[in-house]
Amino acid sequence: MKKELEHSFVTQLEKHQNIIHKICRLYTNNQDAHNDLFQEVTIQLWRAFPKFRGDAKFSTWMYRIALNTAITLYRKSKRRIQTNDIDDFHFKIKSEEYDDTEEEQLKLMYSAIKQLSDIEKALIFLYLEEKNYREISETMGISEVNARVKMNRAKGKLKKILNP
Amino acid sequence: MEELDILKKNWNKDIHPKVSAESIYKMILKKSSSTVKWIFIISVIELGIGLITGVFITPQDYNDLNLPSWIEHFVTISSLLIVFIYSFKFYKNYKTINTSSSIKVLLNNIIKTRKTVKQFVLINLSLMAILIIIALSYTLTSPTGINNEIVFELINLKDYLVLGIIILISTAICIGICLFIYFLLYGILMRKLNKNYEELKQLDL
Repeated sequence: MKKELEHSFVTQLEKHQNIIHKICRLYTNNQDAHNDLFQEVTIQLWRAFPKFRGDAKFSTWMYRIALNTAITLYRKSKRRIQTNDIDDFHFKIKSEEYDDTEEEQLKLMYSAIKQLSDIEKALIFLYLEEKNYREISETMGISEVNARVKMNRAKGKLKKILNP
Repeated sequence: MEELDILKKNWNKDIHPKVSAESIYKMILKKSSSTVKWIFIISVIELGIGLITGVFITPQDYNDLNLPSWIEHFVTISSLLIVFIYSFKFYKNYKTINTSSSIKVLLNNIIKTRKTVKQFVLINLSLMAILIIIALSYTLTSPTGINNEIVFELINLKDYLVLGIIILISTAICIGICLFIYFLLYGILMRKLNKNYEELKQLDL
């Protein structure tokens, strides 16, 4: 029984792991921290898995637990990270897919997102995942109106960081 | 916003190298290092210390303090009652922590669980302070030991005042150090949670 559960979990997680990678990319600054957070999210998902009911999509269920882990449960590595040390490890992968200008803009965008608060990062993540305001409000635990207000503020803040 | 649109366009392209099924299997066997786990461990230790001190302070210890029996009973019963009430409250709150709740609900539940233990520690420290003050006043008014030998004799009011003030200051320093270490420890653990919770709460005001 446990073996079956493990197999089902690992298969689904392997398939949807990109969701976790995308969250790790916003909440961590280097490869070690990325791997740490990925592992913590995996542990939390595995713990919650026995209570996961098939009526929700596995990926939707993952959003909540992965974001909850990044925002509330994850303790940042003690390693001190200087702002200029934020390496571009995310861009080394498949960078050939972008043209130079786009790559530069993406770098700036990621570094701007990293300056947002944990909550604002979650909102931007859900926006990028094309979630509607109802889903965003349910994940965050705030009203739809407030989710909209907070989203506009987060976007405004990003704009300010990019065009000071 | 142009830059955000570019990111959105490329959002699903920028794929991190895949983690293999084998690595995922290994990960689920590892132990969590989450904040909640540490809060849980420290809280259980605090409740445990409360229980142990309640059980192991024997009537003999009160005899040494030379206190009347009603105080002994009051302290023993109230410390045990406090430990049991707070252990139950802590367990009940801890059970509500669920990672599939919304971010706000989860933060609220963790903070509530933590508050229970904080109250417990503050009540215990207050009880300790009250006990010290009562013991002090009894000792000063009846300076006798277990066999009614005179332990010390104070000559005038000034001596009483000086001794009283010294004991009060040392008690305050001891309790102050306990509180300082305590808040420092939780300050570190709870900072991120409190900050994020405040941000979500402010939005709903």
